[in-house]
Amino acid sequence: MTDDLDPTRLLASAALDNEATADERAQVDASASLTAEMQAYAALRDELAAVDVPPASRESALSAALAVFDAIRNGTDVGDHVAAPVVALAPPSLPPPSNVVSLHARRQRQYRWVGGIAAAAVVAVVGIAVINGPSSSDDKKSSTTAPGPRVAADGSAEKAPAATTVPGLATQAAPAPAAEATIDASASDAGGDGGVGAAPATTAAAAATTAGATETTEAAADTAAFDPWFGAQDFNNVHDLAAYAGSPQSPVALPALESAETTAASTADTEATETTEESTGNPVTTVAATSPPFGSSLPGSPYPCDTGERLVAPILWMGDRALLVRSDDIGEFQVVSAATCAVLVEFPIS
Amino acid sequence: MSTSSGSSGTDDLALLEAARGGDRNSLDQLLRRHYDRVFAVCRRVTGHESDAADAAQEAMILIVRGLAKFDGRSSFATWVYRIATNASLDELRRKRRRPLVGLGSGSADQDADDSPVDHADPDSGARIDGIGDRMLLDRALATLAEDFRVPVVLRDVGCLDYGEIADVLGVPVGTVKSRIARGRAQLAASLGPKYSHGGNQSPPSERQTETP
Repeated sequence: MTDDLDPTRLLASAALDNEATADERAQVDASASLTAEMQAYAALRDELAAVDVPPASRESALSAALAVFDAIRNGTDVGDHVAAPVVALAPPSLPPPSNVVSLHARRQRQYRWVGGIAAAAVVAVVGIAVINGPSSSDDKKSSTTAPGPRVAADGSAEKAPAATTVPGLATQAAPAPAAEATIDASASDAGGDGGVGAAPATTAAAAATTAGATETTEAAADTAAFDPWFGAQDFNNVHDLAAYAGSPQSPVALPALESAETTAASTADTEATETTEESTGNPVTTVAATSPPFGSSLPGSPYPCDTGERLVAPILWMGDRALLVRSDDIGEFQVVSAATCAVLVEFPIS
Repeated sequence: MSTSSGSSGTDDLALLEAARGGDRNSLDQLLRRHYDRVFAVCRRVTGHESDAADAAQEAMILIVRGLAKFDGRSSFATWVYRIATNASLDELRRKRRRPLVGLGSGSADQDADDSPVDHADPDSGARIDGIGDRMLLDRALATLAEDFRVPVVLRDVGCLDYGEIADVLGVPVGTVKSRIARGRAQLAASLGPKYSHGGNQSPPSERQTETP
């Protein structure tokens, strides 16, 4: 690195910024080397500052910000869930932005369809139950499904041979092949600017998913009303949070799911989920060291953020809804704001 | 780009007060005045155009939501760039698994794709050089530790003075001075002779090796 940087070389940088004293400035002027270095830094500064600003980004951002302003003034601001309406702020030479969607709304738009997905799931389950009658009871204990893509937390689709357990939902089955194109379209759109356009694809994917191949339990009926933060623990300092995250029993227990019936889920993250069968014959999911990936790109996920990390638990941080996630890549736990998806706190995995 | 200090500071406060009073046009003017530089800061901190657009929009929204909370202890520009910096760093953390630029990931290619080059265009050679320069600069910035990159960007792109940067980052002015100098020295070393004192003036795209 540059720990051995010659102190005199600090002068060139400071002189360029007019932050040097008169003596220091004189020292730079007297040295051809330092003067040349200062000129080189000036050229570097010019290159760094040369950034092209896309007009569309500017107008979109300003429209979104002004929409929030309007919402605040009208008393209709709903925090991070503001979907900015179209506001024609562009100068006459520029076309007004269309379908301006706030950043959070863009990231969280699938969250809004959880209710719709759950409703579709319930309808499909009832239909399947009626068609199959009593003979389907054995199937309740398994979640064998057709191979299909699993939408990863980062929005990409990856192949998974079986169903995927999504925190907050009893069962999220892997879609049948027929649904693949729809799912892929939805997943790829999640990272784009499609905005409203993603909704029909998501709904269609959900319908195809449930109709395609899955079995689920009556717990799905509660999905629409499921609140991951119900009973969540409130933390005000990192010390308590680190103790919580490091304790063997608490970190990965999703508060509202501890007793939830669920079908077994054999996912790609086999190390994350263990399925045990109790004497009742009802399969119960217990979560091991880590929980499955989560994110707004997962169909039916009740969680708003796509951090690409592993969810430990929904918590309250200073009274606000947040997600405790674990990043094994960087060896840290992180507290992510559920409102902004911003990382609020980081601390090492001990 | 608009300036963020001096006489515009007074204008900022007047616009701010009007915006707080509900004047939408004043808010539009205030945000528009700072947007380009906010975007530039976000672009250099995140190293990626689309991430910068997200971070800059996030910053604009946070500014609007925080208008009532701005207490005037720092300049409006300092406050704005603190928000922009945090939005950029948050964006980076969100996308931590995606490399900043190039380095075999294709991100730099994606940036290059943002400015497609028509190879039948007689000026395309110069444009390719320009894209190469940008990629090299992005790559050099990406290899710079966050502690050095952010102050350099706030100084050279945001045009904040050392005191303002110290305020944004919550570190002493002396630390800012040192980090900027070290950051520049590392960047210059990564970019080659043009930015090393006494170097030639060849564009970065023509340089193949790094100068220690």
